[in-house]
Amino acid sequence: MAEFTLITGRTIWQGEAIETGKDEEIYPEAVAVCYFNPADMEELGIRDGDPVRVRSEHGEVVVRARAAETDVPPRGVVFIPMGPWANRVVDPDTASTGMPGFKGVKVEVEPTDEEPVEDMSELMRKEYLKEE
Amino acid sequence: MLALQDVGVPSCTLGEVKNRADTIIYWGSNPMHAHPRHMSRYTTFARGYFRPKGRQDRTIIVVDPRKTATARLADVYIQVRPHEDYELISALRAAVHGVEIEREEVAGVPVEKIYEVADLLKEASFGTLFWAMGLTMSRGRHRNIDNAICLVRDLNEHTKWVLIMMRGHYNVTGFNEVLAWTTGYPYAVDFTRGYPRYNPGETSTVDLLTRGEADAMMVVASDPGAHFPQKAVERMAEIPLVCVDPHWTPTAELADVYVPTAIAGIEWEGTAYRMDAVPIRMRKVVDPPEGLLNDVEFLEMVIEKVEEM
Repeated sequence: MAEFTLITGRTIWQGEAIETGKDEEIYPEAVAVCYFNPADMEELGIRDGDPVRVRSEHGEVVVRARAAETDVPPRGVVFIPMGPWANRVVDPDTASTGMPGFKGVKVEVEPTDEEPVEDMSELMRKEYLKEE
Repeated sequence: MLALQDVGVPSCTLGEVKNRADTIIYWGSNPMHAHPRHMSRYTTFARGYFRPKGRQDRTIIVVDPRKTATARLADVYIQVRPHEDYELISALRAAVHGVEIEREEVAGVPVEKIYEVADLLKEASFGTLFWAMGLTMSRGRHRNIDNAICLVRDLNEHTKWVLIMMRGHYNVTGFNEVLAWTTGYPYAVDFTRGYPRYNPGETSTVDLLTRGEADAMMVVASDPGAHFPQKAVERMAEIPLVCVDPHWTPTAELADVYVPTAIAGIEWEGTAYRMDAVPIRMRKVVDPPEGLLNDVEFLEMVIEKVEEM
């Protein structure tokens, strides 16, 4: 287990996916992922495509690790594109502004054998409607 | 929004930026990913009336914790530590005023570099600061923008500087503008007392949901199911939820009632505001699928029913 600072935000692939359809395969491919600095991945012993569990004090989620080729985060920082997967772990406190803490969230990351839920509908139903 | 209400905003349209700006800052903003047409249409690569050589006539500065695709195109890249934007803006303001910074680095940036950048900003003939969620979603929130606006105000003692927010969603500016001239407030407007009230933190959607105060929700052309934090979405799943949207979204997935509508600006006409608050008339391009209502038609029918009750 290792501690990281999580940033969430847009990627061009997230933008492409939301215009294509959030119920299509392209969406989880774009947003159910966590981008690492390749050096951090090596230290954690994970390879591109391995599932990782990301946990904050607000929740946890399993996503696929990706070695960032562009927009590389500095060591100790990870990036999950905005979407329902990232929002499992972001900070709901708005500090009286209405804007939650989508960036700079303290998280713990560890490799896992659990496969990520890679379907928007399945994720929403499992996490929020408690359907199996 | 809160910051604009606190200290005002010196701004301009994107056309002005295209024709005049020679120094451009992107702070916590990655247009190469989030606004892919922006740099070629209005800033970095665009040829303007007073900037005929396009890229060669402009200095681009990017401030971001990650060396983003935008940062790789910049003339100057400043790597700020997450959550320390406020400190860096303050240091830049100190440097612009010629005050000595008694530290070796601020927010991970060496002080010499801060002085260098401050000189660049003062030497601009027309500067534009574009800022985005990197500032508003990290520690300090709107206070970061307060400080950034103050930096722009300070710079206007030396030369011309303006700022524009890089808005994230289609016509989100329109929502803020229209709400402001109809109710006096840009967002988080509460009508429960029969007149508009505004108190972000109390009357904002995320806070109302997280505290469990909202007991029903209607979402029109928005997707909080995908873009709100988990505690807010948990509440959405508990209460009656209506989703009015052209697309099947995470919000639709949780909704008790889903109403598909025509796509505004493609399947029916209307007005949308650009991020620099210029309203643009959108024409209808194609017919919607048969029987599909647009948002306005649907909402008018709802209001009619509500008034009957």
